[in-house]
Amino acid sequence: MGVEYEICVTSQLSNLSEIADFVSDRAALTGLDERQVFEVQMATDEACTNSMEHAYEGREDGEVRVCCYLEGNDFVVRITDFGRPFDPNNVPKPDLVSPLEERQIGGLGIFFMRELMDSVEFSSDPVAGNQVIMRKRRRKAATA
Amino acid sequence: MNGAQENGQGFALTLSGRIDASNAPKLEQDLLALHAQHPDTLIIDLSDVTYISSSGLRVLLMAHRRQQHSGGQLFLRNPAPKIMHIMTLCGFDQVFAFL
Repeated sequence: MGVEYEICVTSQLSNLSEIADFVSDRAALTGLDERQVFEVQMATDEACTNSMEHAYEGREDGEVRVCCYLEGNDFVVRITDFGRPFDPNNVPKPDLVSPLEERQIGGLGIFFMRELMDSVEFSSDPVAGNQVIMRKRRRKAATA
Repeated sequence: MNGAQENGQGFALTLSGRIDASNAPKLEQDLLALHAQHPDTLIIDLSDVTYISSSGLRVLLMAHRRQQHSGGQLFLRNPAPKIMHIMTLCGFDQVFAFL
């Protein structure tokens, strides 16, 4: 594992843009192309939104840590919060098949995280908190 | 919301910048108010939108439903390729009408 870069913010939704800038900058610096940077930014935004809205249930004084690093050829984003334990299996899969009028709205955030990243892992621990670790494979070798 | 104006095709609303969970509720309120005034044709111009999260997409979907329920239509105009990429991933490209 290489150098880790971390940003720590309170669980206010207004901090999402600062997180997006941080992750986009780090992803671009590690050689991800423009499309990949956008995808990493979106997956991170969705994960952090889940932390703020669901783990902290809208409380704005929680802690959200976003850490980026390179592991082999993967750009890795680790998001940590200390809110309510989160089980992704309890989130219904989004309805992408029914006609628009009949669609249930929900589950899109986790759907995007899984679609946009090469891997997404969730864990929950009383001490380490809730963690989401997402990986994006670089298309070609680049220096950090 | 950054601007709204009537044109020959309907009432057009121009959005810009990021649409995420922090400002999606405000957008929802703005679109609710616009729907009350313009239940027929509403156009949302996305040319200057740099990012939209699932929260923003949900707001657009709700607006689409409201317009349809009142017998009107919602059109999306000029999404950037990366925004269109996101809409295609979740199938919204098939359910929204684009100008």
